[in-house]
Amino acid sequence: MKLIHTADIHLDSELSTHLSRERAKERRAEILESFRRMVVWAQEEGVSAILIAGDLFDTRSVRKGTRNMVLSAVTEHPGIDFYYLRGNHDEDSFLDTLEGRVPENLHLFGPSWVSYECREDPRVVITGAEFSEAHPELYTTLSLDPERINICMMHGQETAAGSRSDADVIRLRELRYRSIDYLALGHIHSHREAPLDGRGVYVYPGCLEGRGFDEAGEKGFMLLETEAGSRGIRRSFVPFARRTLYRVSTDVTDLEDTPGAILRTERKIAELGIPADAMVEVVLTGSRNAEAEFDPLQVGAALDGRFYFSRVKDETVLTVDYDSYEKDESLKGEFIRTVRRENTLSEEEKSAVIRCGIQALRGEEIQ
Amino acid sequence: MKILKIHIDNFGKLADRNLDFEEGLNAWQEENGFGKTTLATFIAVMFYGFLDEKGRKLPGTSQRMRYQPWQGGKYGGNLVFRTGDGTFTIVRDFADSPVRDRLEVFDRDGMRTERFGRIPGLALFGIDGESFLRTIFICDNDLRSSVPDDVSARLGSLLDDAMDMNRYEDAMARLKHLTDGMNPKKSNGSISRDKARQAELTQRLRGKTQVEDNCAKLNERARELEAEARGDLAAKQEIDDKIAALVKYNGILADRKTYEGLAAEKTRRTQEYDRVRSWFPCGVPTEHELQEAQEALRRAEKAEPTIRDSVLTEEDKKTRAKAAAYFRSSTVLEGETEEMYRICRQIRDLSQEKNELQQELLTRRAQAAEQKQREADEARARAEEEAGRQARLELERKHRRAVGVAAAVMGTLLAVYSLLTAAGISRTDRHLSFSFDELPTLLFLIAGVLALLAGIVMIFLSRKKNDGGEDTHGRTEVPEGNEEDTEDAGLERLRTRIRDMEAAAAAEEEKVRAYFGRFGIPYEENRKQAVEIISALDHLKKAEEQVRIKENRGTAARETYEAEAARVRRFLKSLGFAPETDLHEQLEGIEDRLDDLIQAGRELNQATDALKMFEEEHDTGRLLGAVRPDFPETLEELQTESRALQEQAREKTDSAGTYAREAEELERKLDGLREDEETLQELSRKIDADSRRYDLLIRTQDCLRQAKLSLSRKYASPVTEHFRTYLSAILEEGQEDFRVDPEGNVLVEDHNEPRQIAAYSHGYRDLTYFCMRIALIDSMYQEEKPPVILDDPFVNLDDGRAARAIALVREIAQEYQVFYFTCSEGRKA
Repeated sequence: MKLIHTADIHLDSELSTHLSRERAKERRAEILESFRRMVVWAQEEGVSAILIAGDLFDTRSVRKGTRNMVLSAVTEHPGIDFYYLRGNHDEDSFLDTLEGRVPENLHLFGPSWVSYECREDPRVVITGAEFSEAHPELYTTLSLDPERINICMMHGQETAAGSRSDADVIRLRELRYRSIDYLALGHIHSHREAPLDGRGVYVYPGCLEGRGFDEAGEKGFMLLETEAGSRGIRRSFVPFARRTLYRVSTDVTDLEDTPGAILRTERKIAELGIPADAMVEVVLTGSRNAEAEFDPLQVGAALDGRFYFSRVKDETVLTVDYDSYEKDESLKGEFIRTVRRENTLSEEEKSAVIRCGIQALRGEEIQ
Repeated sequence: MKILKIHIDNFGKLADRNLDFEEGLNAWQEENGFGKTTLATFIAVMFYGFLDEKGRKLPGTSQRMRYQPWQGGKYGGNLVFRTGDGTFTIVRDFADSPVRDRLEVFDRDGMRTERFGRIPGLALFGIDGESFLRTIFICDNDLRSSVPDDVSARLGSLLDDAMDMNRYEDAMARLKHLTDGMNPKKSNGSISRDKARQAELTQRLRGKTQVEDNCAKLNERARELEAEARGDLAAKQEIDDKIAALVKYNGILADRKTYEGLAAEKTRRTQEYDRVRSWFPCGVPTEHELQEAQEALRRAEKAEPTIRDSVLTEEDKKTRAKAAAYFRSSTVLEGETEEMYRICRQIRDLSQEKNELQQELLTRRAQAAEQKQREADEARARAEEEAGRQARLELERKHRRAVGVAAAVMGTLLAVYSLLTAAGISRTDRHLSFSFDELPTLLFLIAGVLALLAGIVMIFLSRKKNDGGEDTHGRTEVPEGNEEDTEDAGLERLRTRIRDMEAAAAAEEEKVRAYFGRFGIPYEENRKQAVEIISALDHLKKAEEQVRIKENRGTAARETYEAEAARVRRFLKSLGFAPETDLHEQLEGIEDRLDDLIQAGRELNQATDALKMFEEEHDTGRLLGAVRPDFPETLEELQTESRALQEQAREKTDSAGTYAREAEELERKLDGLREDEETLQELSRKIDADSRRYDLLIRTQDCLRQAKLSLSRKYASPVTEHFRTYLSAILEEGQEDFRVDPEGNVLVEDHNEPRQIAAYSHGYRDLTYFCMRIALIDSMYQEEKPPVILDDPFVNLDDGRAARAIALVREIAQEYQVFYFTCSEGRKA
């Protein structure tokens, strides 16, 4: 039997932080399409169950088109059982629309543990519970048959520590030695897996599609397989994102000008083999002299049009060697000394003011 | 600080040069191209290193490259200087990059010292290399290269640092332009506009939560109504089930009634049939039998008119009597009348024709006589003509025969000759081959044969013609005798024909006579009315025939009538009815009854069949045993309730649809609001960023302004003081008219008006600038005094002022180490 473990799809996420309105709309459609593609892929690969461990949606008021697409994906694949556990971003709006008409192959969970036996392989039992304020202490009521292949679904931040009372925290320690073969989690947006105990593992599949550059890298879902005669679950990560986000860090400390930064950035991009349909964020790091000729906008312009989306983030720290200007009896030197003496400015602001002043005095574009 | 000596290994065009310097004035008079700038740069580089390798590069080729020795070799040198702390040597070797340069400072004992750091000049003079270079190095180009209107930019050239002061105004203008464009206090500033837009979007988005709530409520209400509608429909379904059960029961009831009705109908039909049947005392006739009886009666009735019509009239009787008289022994047979007519016509025709023939005979006789005469005359003429022709022919014949004989004789002779000749030749010539010499012989032979043949033909022709002429001659004589015979024969024939006609007519009349005789009618007396009599006989015959027919017809009709009537009566009796007088009416009555019985039978059969069919199609046991469903409502009540529920469900569904549509409308609005939200977020970020940037720009402006003022104030007073001192050394008067404003501009009071120095002559300006430069140096260099390098700065001064300037130089040399270069003997110090 094959199963898919996915989570944190965040359909209908606004995505406006980085993207223009049009691109955000495109990207939302791509994420929704990725969900649909995943279901089609499941059908083609003979997957019998899809586990959605929370945050399928991102908003309280889900767009009608999104709801219809998700519902259609479920109803048009009656051979696949969907196990939908809500996360902290899932509101009731989608399930409300199913009032009285929940498809037979859509299985839901609640604040208490609910178990389902898989049709394809009755040895496999899917158990899940949604955190809520009403039942913060679920662990004591979890009781699984050790003879079964137990897959447990939850949504939250895992912690090995004990005493946090936050409802979104999953206390791994209390889930150990409870005959869990596979703890299917959601909430963390990058793929992560680690042993739970001597028997099972816990896995975050990560999100299906990166939405921001804090979710850069390969995204996809987990493919699980059980075999007859064996109680183990074979698992593999399936990269599936329509687009991959890349965060390229370029240290410009030892560079003297913009062309150097562009060259170094391009070299890094070439090394990473970033495809044209990717979303790329170039982060300029390190320190640079406030007097040095450096224009992050030019670096961004050099990337324009080469990728689906690109942007440059300037995280360099402007440095000013104040001491070198101590004896500079020019206007520039006096200006720098004046800024240095200004107590109302932070160091970062001082660097920025100095840079502006020098650019202004030089007749350069003031950034 | 004093420079004691320098050694240049290689630096620019200078190579392996050692120079010792004095304290105070060191003057050279050298040609242009000596390397004064190279020397001054070497001194600066020794103290500061190459000045364009820190931070931003200066435009153009770097100093390192520019001063790379043309001749190769070690690039660098050393400089020995003295301060209050002792004598030191700076040694520098330059490589192709700063990291490989060598810098060492040694004290007098040759010990390396780090006290001056990596930039000895900075440690010594407290200013950077560029400031140093622009301070201590004064040349005529330097003096004159200022921006004419910006003396402050030339203020000791300290403030003329590359582009700083020159660009100050421009920088401030650009900063102001940026800040004005962004000014949040101005309504047309970009930040103000963005904030206004932000406020507008915020206002618009205030209702987003409400819209979301409303949308959710509408959807919820729609779902509730749909659920209620489903409930109503479910209740309706229950009602409909009851209705179906009741309808079914009512159907059963109806069927039961139908069944009972059919059974009752059958009973009624049976009774009716029996009643109608009872009218027939004995059997019931078939329709066919009745029809036959009726048909018989119709035939009998049909014969009655014939019977009536067949009674003989008086006229009929007379006709019969008359016919009896005439047709006592014979009658007119079939076709006789027509025959008689024909004979009469024949007789008439024959008579007429005979008359015509007789007339013709007379005519022809007269004609024959005339013809005879004429023919005789013609015969005589022809005979004469024929005689002449025969004579001619005879003559021709004789001539032809003579010619023929002659030709035959000649031909024979020629042939004989030819043959004889040919025989002679053949005897001499054994081969018998033809040659042209033999040709005449052959021709003769041919000619002879032809002539012989022609003669024979002509003889034959002469004889034949005579035979033809004889035939002609014979035929000519024949017409005379034949013509006459023909005419007589013709007349005879006519006569014969006339006789024949008369005979034929007589024969025909005989027939007529005989015909009349059969009926006792004399022919001779009635010959002229023969046709009328024949016709009358014929009519009589026909009339008599008609009477007979009439009589026979009446008889037949009566027989028919009797027979048919008897048949009808038998029929009636067989049915048990006594025949009535009006059989017709009686039969009609029976027919009516029979129709009724048949109809009753048919209806009985129908009722029986209907009942049977119903029993086959229905479970009559179930019908009879059916029980009403156990609920009290009537069908009408249930239907009313069902309709009400249907209507209710429909209303709720419609309302749900309305709510759903409204919710969709709100969702579309929400989509717009979400877009606005995204726009607002973008805008807020932009406003924050712009506001920060605006603040930074304002602070930059402030700091720049402060820096400029600070710098100006720093040097303004001392510079002014020193400036006037130096100026007074050169000018004999008027130096109190000069002043330096806080901006560092040199102004001259001229007629109580401050004027920019740029308005004055080059020489005056240069002088002023020189004094300003020295005044600035005085103000800038408080501790270690730098060397001053003067590269012919007084080229524009007149001799008097130049002399005074040079005197000032000497005076300055009291305090400064001065390197003075000139290429002019007149300006030698």
